[in-house]
Amino acid sequence: MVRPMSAEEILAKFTEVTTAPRASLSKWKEQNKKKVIGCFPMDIPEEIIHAAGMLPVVMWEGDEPITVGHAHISPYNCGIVRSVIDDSARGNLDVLDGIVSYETCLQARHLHFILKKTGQYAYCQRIFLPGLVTGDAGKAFMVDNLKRLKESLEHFGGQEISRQSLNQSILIYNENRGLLRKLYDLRKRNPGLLKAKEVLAIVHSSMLMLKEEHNQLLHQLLQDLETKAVKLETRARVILSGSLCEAPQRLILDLIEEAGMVIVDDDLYVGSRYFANDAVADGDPLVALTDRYLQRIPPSPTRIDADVDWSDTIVQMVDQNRAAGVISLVVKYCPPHLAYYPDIERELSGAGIHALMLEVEHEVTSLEQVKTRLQAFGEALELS
Amino acid sequence: MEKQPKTNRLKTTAIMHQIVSDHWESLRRAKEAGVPTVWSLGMMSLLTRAIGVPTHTYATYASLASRDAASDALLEEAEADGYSPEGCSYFRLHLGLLSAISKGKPVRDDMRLPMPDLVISTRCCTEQPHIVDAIHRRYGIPAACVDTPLFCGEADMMERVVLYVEQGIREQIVPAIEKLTGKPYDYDKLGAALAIIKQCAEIRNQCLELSRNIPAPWSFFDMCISSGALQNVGGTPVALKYMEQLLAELKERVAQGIGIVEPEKYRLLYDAAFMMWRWFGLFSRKLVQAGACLVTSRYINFLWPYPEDIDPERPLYSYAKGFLRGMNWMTAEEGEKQIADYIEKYSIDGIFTLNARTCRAAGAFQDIMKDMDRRFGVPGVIIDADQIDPKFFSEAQLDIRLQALLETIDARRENKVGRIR
Amino acid sequence: MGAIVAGIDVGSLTTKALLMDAAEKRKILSFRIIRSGGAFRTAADGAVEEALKLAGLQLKDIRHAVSTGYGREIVGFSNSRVTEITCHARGAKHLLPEAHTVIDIGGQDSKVIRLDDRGGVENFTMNDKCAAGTGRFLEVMASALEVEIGKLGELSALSKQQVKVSSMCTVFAESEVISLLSKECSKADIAAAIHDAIARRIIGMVSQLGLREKVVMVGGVAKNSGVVRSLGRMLGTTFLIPEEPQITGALGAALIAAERCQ
Repeated sequence: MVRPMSAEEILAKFTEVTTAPRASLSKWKEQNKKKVIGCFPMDIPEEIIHAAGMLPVVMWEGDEPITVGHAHISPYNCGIVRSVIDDSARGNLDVLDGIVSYETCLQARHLHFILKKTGQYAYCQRIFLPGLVTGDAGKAFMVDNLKRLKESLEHFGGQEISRQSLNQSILIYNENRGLLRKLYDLRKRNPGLLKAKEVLAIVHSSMLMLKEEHNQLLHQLLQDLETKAVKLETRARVILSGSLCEAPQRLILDLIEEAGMVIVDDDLYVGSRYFANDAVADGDPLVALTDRYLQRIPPSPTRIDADVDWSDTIVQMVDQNRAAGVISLVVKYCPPHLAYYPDIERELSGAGIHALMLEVEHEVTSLEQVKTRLQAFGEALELS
Repeated sequence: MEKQPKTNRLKTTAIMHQIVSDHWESLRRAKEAGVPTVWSLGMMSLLTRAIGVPTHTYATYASLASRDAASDALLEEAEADGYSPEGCSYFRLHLGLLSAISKGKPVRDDMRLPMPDLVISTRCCTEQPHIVDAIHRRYGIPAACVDTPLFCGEADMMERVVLYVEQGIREQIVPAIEKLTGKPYDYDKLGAALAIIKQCAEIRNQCLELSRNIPAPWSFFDMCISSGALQNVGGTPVALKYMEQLLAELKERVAQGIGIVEPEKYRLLYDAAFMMWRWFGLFSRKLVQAGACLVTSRYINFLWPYPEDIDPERPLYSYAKGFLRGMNWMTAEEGEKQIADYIEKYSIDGIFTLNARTCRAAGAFQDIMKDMDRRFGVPGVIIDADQIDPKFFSEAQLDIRLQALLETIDARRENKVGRIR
Repeated sequence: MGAIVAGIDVGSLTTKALLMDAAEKRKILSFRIIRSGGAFRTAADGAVEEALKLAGLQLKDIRHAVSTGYGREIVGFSNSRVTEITCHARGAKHLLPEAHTVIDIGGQDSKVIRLDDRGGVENFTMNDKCAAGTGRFLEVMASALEVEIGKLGELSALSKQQVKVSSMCTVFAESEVISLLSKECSKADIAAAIHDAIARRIIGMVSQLGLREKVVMVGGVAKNSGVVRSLGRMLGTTFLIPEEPQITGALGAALIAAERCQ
C-alpha cells in the first residue's frame, strides 16, 4: 500500500516541480506518455488542452542568464519573453510537444515566429484573446477563436474533443481553483502558516502539473494545514501587487520576510488571479471559458477596462487584509504596469497606504540594492 | 574628381509643411471657437476627420514635436509626473503635453494642442489602449478603443478579423463619437472621405512603384513627409491635389533619370515601426553624404496598403479591411515575405533597422535580417536608438553603424555577393 | 556626559564614523571619514578607532552602535543595522527640523527621500543601477574633460553658452562630451552641461516623489557647486547643505543608537 505523502513531502514535491520544471515534466512524460503543451502566459484557457488529453503547462521563466536568446530578441524586453526564447534556442523546451501563444502584450507579439525559428515543435499555434474587456464583439470573436484552437488540437491529437470532456475538464479546474482559494483563506487568517515561497510553490506547481494530481496532493496538504494553530502575527502585513506573467523570484519573497514583513495576499497572475472566478461547467464550454476570461474582477493589467481601476482593487485588498503597505513588483520593462503605476502610487499615497516599488528583472543584478529597499520599507512600516 | 553628393529636392514635398502646419493650427483654433477636438491613435483619425471634427494623429504629432528637439521638455515633464523613462516615448510625449497643459506650464506655440475632448484608438500596438486608458484615468477625458487583432498573414482569419473590428468600431468608437457630436454618425461622409483615401492610396502605390527606378526619384524621407496626405489631411481634397502633383513630378523625374540622392551608390530598405523623427534631418544628411538612399520601407505601406479593398458603399467594413492588412497588424511571417518582396522589387543593397529603446513592437527583426542575408546576400544593420528620446541616442553609434553597413556592401560587391549593379 | 553612542556608515567608497553623547543635546563628539578600500570590516574598525582617538574615548565606552550603508551587515561591533535611507532621513531632520526632502548623491548611487513630519521615511526612490545621476558620472566626464573632479564646479561657473549632454547612458554621454570638445566648445560650457545632465536625473527622481520643502542635500556630490547650482535652478528652490554633507547617514545612525539605548 502506498503511504500518503506528508505535508512536508508534498511541499517539497511542489517546490521541485517549480524549481526544475524541465526535469520534472520529462519525468512525468516518461511515466504518462502524454503530450505536453506550453501556454505562454497569461490566461490561455487550458481546459481545452486538458480535454484533448494533453497536459497544458504555463510557460516559465528560466533561471539562467540570457545568452543566445539575445540574437533573437532585444535585451530591452521583459525577462520571461527573453528567457523563453533563450531556452528555446538552447533546446531547453524540448520537453514541450507544442506551444500556444497570443499577443499578451507587445513583447509576446512575435514570440510564435521566434519560437519556430529557434526550436522544433510538433505543434505551434498562434491564437487571439481579446485585449479589451468591454462589448459583445469580443465575446463572439473569442468563442470563435477557441473553436479554432479546439479544432487544431483535435487535428494534432487525432481525437475529437467532446463537449462532455470539456465540461469535465472545467469541473476539474474549478476544483483546483477552489482548493487554492481555500489555501489563500487559510493564509489570510494565519499569515505565519507558510513561508511566502511555499505558498508560491503551491500555486505555481498547479501551472506545471496535471490538475487531477495537483488536486489530490493539495487536498491532502490543506487537511494538514487546517489543523495548524493560528499564531499571533506581529510582523507588518503587506500586499504583493504586480502585472508580471512569471512567478516572483523566491529570493525576493525571502527578503521581504527577512525584512520583517509578511505577505497576506497578492494580485499576481502566479497568485490569486490564476484561480479567481470559476467557469460554468454545465453549458457550452467554449462560452463558459470565454465568460471566465472576460470577467472584469480581478482586473488583468494587460487588458484594458476603462471602468475598472486597478488601483481601487489594490486599496480594497489592503482594507480587507488590514495590510500596512503594498509592495509592487514592477518588471523591467513591463509597459502595462509602467503605464499604470503612477496612478496606483498616487491613489495609495492619497489613501495613506505605504507603497514600495521594486523593479525586478531577470538578471538579479544586485541583491544588496533589493535588500536595502526592502529593509528601508520594513523600517518605515515598523515606525508608523 | 567625384561629384559632391547632393539631394535633388522635390518641389511637391515643400508644400506639405504648410498643409501640416495649417492642420495643427486648426486644432488650436477649434479650441478657441469652442469646437471639440479628438486625439486619435492607430488609424482611427479618419473616422472623426471625415465628419468634420478636428483630429490629431498620434505619430504625426510626434514627428512635429521632435523636429527641433522641443519634445525633450515634454518628455521630461512626463517623467516629472511619474512616468518611467523606460516607457514608450510617444506615450511620454503625449502625457507630458497633457501634464504641461493642465499645470499651465509653457508649451511652444507650434506644438501646443488643446486638451482633447475624446481619445480614440485601435490596438495597433498593445500599448495604445494603455496610453488611452492612462489619459482617461489621469485626466478624465472620455476614451474609446477598438481591439484590432494581429492576424494579417493567417488567411483563414482575415475575414473574421475584419468583421470583428467592424463590429468593435460600431460598438465602442461610434457611440463615443456620437456622444461628442450630439448627432448620429454620418456614414455617407465617411464613405466620401474613403473615396478620396482610395484615390490617394492608389496614387501613392503608383509613386512607390516608381521607386523601382534606378536612381530612385524619391526617398523614404519624402514618403514620410508625404504621408500627411493620408494622415493629417487624409480624405480631403487638399490631399488628392498633393498626391496628383507628387505623381506627376516623380514621373517627370523618372523620365529624365533624376534621382533624389545624387549619386545614388547604395539603395537601402528602412525597416522599423517608425522613423527616427528627432534626427530626421541629421539622418537624411548623413545618408546623402554617403550616397545612400532609403528607397522604401514597410512603414509607409501601413497606411491603406490595398486601396482596391476600399468600397465607399461599405464604409466601416472597408475601413477596417483597409488598415488591418498594414504593417502593424502583420504576423512576422507575413512581414518577412513583404521585406523579401521589396528587396527584389526595389533592388535593395542593404537593410537599416531601428531598434527603438522604448518600443517593443518590432520584435522579430533580428531573425528576419538573418534570413534576408541568407537568401539574398543583403546585409543589414541595427541601430539602437529611439523614435524621439535623446536619452537613448548616440550620434557616434549611428555614424559607425551606417558606415559599417556601406563598407560591408562594398566588400560584398567585390565578391559579387548581393545585388549585382 | 551621557551614554556614548556611535553611528557607522559603511559606503562602497567611504566609511564614516560618528560618536555622540546620547544626553539630551545629542552632542557630536567626533567624526571621521576614511576610504573603504573594499574591506568593510577593517574600514569600520579603522574609522571608529580614529573617531574614538579624536574624542579621547575607547571602544568599550560605546553603549550602542548602529551601522548603516552598503556594508552595514559586516560591521563587527554594531548592535543594530538600519538602512541608510532611514538614517539619512533622521540625520537630515536633526540638522534641519523643517526638512521634508533629502537628496543624497553619492559616489555610486543617488537617492531622494521624502520625510513625514516626524522625520520618518514617507517614501523614497533610489538610483543604484546605473552611473548616471551619481558621482561616478562626474568622474567619467571629468576624465574626458581632463579636469580635476574637484575643480568642475568652479569651472562650470564660467560657462557663457548653454550646450547639452542628453544621453542617459554614461558611456554615450562621454562620447557626447568628446564630440563637443572636438567641435571646440569651451570646457566651462561642457562642465555646465554635465552638471545639468546629472541634475536632470535627480529632478526625475524628485518629481516621482513630489518636492516638499525644505530640501536638504547630502552626499559627496553636494560639495560640487556646479551640481548644486544646476539642481537649485531646475528645482526652483534653495537647499540646505550641511557643513559636512557626507556624515548625515552616520549622524542619523547615531541618533537611532541614542534612542535605542534609552
